[in-house]
Amino acid sequence: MYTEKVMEHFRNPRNMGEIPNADGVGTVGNPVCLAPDALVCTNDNFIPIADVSTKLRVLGHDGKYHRIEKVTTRSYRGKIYRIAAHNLGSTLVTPDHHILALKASHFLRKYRSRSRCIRDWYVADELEKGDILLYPVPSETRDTKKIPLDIERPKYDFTSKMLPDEIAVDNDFLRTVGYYLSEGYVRTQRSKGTLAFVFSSKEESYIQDAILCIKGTFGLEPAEIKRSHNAAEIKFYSARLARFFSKHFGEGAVNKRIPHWMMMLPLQEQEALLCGLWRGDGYINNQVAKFVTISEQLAFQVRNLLLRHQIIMSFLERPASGIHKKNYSIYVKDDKSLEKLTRIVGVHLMMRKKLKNHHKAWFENGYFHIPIWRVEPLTYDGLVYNLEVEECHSYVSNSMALHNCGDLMTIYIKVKDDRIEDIKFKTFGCGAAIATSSMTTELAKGKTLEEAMKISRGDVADSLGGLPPIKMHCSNLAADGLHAAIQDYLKKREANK
Amino acid sequence: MDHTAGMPVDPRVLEVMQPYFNQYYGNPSSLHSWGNEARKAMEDARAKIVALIGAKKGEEVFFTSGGTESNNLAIKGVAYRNKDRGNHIVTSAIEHISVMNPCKSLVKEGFNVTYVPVDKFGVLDIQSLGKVITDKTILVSVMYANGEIGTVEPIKDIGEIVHRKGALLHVDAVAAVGQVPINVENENIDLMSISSNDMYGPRGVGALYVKTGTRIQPIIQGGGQERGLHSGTENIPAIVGMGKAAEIAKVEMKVESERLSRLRDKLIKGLLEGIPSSFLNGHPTQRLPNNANVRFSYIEGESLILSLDMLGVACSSGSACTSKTLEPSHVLLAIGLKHEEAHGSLLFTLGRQNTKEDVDYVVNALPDIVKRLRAISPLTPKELLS
Repeated sequence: MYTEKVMEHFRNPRNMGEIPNADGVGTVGNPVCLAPDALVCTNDNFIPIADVSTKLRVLGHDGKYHRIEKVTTRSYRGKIYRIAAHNLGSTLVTPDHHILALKASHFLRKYRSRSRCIRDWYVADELEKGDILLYPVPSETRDTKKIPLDIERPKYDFTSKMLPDEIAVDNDFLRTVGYYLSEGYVRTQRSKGTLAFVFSSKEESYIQDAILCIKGTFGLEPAEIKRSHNAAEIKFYSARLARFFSKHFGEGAVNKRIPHWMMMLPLQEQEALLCGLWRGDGYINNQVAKFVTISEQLAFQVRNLLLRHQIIMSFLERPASGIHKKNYSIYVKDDKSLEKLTRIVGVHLMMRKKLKNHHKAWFENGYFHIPIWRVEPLTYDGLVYNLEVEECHSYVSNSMALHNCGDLMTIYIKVKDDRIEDIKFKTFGCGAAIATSSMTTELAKGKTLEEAMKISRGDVADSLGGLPPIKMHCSNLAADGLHAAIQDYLKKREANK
Repeated sequence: MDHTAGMPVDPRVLEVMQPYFNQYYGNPSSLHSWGNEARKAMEDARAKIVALIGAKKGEEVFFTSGGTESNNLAIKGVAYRNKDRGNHIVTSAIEHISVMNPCKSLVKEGFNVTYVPVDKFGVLDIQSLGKVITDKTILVSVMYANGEIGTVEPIKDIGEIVHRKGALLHVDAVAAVGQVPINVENENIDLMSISSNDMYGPRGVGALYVKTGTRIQPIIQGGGQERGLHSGTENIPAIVGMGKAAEIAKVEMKVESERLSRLRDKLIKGLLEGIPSSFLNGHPTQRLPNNANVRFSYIEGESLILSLDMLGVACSSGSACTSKTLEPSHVLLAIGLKHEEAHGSLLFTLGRQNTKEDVDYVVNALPDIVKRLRAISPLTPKELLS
C-alpha cells in the first residue's frame, strides 16, 4: 500500500520529539473554525455556535448526539469560505476546516459514478462547485410511550375539567401536536387558559379529526366552534392544557418548537406528527409539496424530520418583506419523496412522474448527499468558534458535517536568523501520519521561514513518492502544522517588539 | 498471526483435491460413470461435514461459494420465502458485514430489521432479544462466535428463546467451526453458515446447513444443482477439499483447541502484563481458542501493524486507518469502546503453524514498539513515558 519512501520514514522517523523552549509551536487537528452565527445542530435545536455551551449535546457525523467537551474561540483575520449546498443553505468556514464530502468535481458528470468518489474529510480549501457534501441523518431513536402532564392543577381550581395525569404518546396525541404547531394558539393570561385551532373552513375533515384526536387523548370536548366565511376556530378551555402546550411546544408562531424527545421517536410514530404539521402549514399537490413557517426552530426541526424519513427536500430562508415576517419554506419535489409524503399526510393524488430529478441530492448509507453549488471566498475579521466533541470528533452545521480532530500533531521549531535551525514533531496516527511528519521536518530544516511557508501538502506527498488517495487528507497534516508553528513564531516576535 | 484473514490450505487437503482437477473431472449431474465418481466424492464430502456439525442427514447441507454467500442465502432466502408470515428480522450489533449488508438491503425492500445490543464483552443481551422478537419476526441471525473479538455467544439459550417465539435461528459459524464443537441438533440451530477456508480448506467454497422443514428459497437460479438452492455446476475439487478439511478438523479439534487456548492465554497474559495501559477486548473466558484482541491506549493500530510487519509478524487491527471507510470496526464500537480506543486495537488470530516460540517473540517485541509509538504520540501522558 505504501511506497518504499513512506516505509523508510516510518521505520526511522527524523526529528522526532519536542523542543522544550521552542520559538514556535504549531498544533494541528483543532484549528478549524466557524463564524459565530453559524448554526449547529444540538439536542435542543439549531443554535448559533457562539451560544453553544458544554451542557448541550451536538449531532455528530454518525447521526448520534454527543457531549461537547470544550468550546474554543480565537480571533481570526483572513480568508473565509461561504460554502453553499444545493438543498440546505450555506455555512461560513475557515479554509482549513475539515468537511465530510465526496470529491466529484474532477470527474466529468457523465462518468461520475458514486463508487469512484472517495468519501473523506476534505479541507474547505479543496472543495469546489460540483463536490458533494454528506449530511448525516439524525438516527438516534428513543421511544417514549407516556409523558406526564407536568402542569399542577391550581390550588383553588374546582371547576376545570379533569385531565389524565399521563398522556400516552400515540398517533392521536402526535397529530394534535402537529395541528397545534401549525394552526394552534394558546391564551394563558391570568388563571384562564384557552387552547384553540384555526382551520380554513374548507378543511372540514381536518377539523373533525382534530376534535376526535383531542377527545381521545385528553377527554375534552370543544367549548366553542366559531365559523366565519372562510375560517373555523375550535376552542378548548383548560388552563392546565394551555400551559402544558405552551411549555412544551412554544407559545406564539415564532416560538413554536418540537421537544427533543419527540424528534427521537421511532419513524412510524413521527409520521403522525408530520401529518398534523403538513395538514396545517403545508401544501401538497401532484407536483410539489411545500411547508412554510416563521419559526426558525420549527423549520429546522421539520427539516430533520424529513431527513429521518429520507424525504428529499430543499430548505429556503426568506428575509422579511412588507407585511411578511422572515420565513422558512421547505419544498419537496422529488417523485419518490412526494409519494412518501402523500402517504404520510393521507391524501390521494394521481402522481405525474417528472422527467428530470429536480433535486440533485440523494440518500445513501445514512447520509443525505448534496452537491455544492457555490464556494465563495470572503475576507473575515473577528472571532471564530470551534467545538471539541466527545467520541466522534465531529459536529453538524445547517448544511455540512464538520470535523475536529483533537490535538493530533504538534510541530516545534527553533529559529535563528529567519532560518529554521531545529524542528521536531510529535504525532498520533497511522504510518502515513508519522511518515509525512518526518518528511515535512526533513524538508523544512535549514530553510528560511518564507521558503518553509511554501511547503505544501502536495510537496510532502510527492517527496514520499505518493500516498494512497484515502490518506491524502486525514494523514497529511504536517505541512499545516509547520505553517501554524511559523505563524506562532511570527506572532510571538511581533509581540516582543 | 492473522489467520482470520486467510489460512493456508492443509497439505493433506491439497493432496486429496489434486486428482479431481484432471483425473476425476466428471460433472456430478451426468449419468455416466465419470459423473458417478464425482457425485460419490461430493456426497462423501457432504457426509463429513454432516459429521462435523452433527446434522441429521446429508440433505441438510448445501454447498455454496463461501461464507458470504451462505449468509446471504440464509437471510434473503428465508426472508423472501416467509414474506407472508412477517417482515421482521432480528440480528445482533456485532454481526459480520455479510450479514449486516443483506439485512440493510432487505430494509429497502420493506423489511424491518432490529439490531440487538451486546454487553461490554460482546455477549448478546438475551433479555432484550426476548423483548424485540414479535409475532412478525421470521428470522433471528446471530453469529456463533465473533471473529474479531472472539466472544462465543450462548447459542443454545438464544435458540430456545427464538423457537419459543416461533421464529427461525440462523447462525453464522464461519469463525467458530473447526474451533469449537458445534452440534446443530442440540443447539437449536435452523440454518448455519460455514466456510472452508476457516478450517484450512480451499477458498471459494462454503456450506449452509438448513434443517429439514425450513422454508427457504434460492437467490441464485439456474440448473437446480444442490436441490435447487445453489445452481451452477459444483466445484468438485474445492468441495472434496472442504470435506477433507472437515474430517481433519473433527479429529484434531480437541487437541488443537486446547493447545491454541494455552497459547492464546499466554499471549494475552504476556501482553497485558508487559505493557502498561493495555486491555483485553472481548470475553475473558468465553472466547475462541485462537483469538486474542488487545488494545493499547494513546496509539494507533495501523502503526502497530506496520511495525510488527517489519519484524515479520502479521496481525490486523480494528482501526479505521486500515480500512476503506473512515469508521473504526463496528464490532469494537458496539461493545462500547470509544473511537480512539477502537483505533488502538490489535487482533492476533493463531493457527496450526503458530508455536510457543512465536508467542514469546511477540510478547518480547511488542512492548518496545508500543513504547516507541507512545513516545511519538502527543496524547501519551508524561508519567507513562518515564
